[in-house]
Amino acid sequence: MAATVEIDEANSAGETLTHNISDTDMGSADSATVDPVASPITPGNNTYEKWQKIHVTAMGGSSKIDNLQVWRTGALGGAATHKTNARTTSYAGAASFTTPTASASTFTQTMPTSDPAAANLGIGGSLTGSLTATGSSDYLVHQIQTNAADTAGSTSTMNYQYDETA
Amino acid sequence: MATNICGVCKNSYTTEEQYVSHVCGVTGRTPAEAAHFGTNFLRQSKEALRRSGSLSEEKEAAIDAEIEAAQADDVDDKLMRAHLEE
Repeated sequence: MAATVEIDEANSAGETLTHNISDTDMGSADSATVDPVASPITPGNNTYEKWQKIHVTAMGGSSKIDNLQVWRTGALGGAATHKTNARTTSYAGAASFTTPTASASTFTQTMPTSDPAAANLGIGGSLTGSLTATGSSDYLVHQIQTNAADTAGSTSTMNYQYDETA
Repeated sequence: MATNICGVCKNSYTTEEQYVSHVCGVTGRTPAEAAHFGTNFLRQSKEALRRSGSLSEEKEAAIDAEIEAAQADDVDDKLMRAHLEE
């Protein structure tokens, strides 16, 4: 068969892990199921950081999962920016979980808006790392930082890609 | 100890192992079974294998069989309904 892979999100100081999230909801609350209507972002403010990871729950007979690539497709609207720790070079190693914040994230790379064509999220702290058994990637941390002149109503697509070797 | 929540059935577990071995009340499968994630995931699995040159005819046939089983069980519809309730 094939490996089973899901996207997990960690929230709150207790690092509560919601497994197999269906989407990335970014707003003014630290939750895996943020309601954008109930928790909108005031223009000029940031969303809460998202701390997510790619989790292999079973190898399904495959030998390796690697080459993790993450990017966003679709415009944010206005002058909003999307910051992350994901990067294809000079990767800073695995990010250690801290309580998600709506203050400006310490991670300042710009989320790619097309396939980066190379790993930009590490495993075991390295972009050349791999999973040969069940386990998770490094944390992907990202945040949208809005501008005071931005208006509401933006939907885009997060892409999470991996290679699987039989 | 961190809490592990199934994003589909919303049940909580103390350990990740407990989460991976639970039978999801929505899909009727565990998170270690590919069909638990629906047909889109299964199709993406083929592409993940293809990128590494690992998609053999045997593997593809096995994944196609899982897609058929998931379709027969309406897994995609169950997942959609569960997420609409969030």
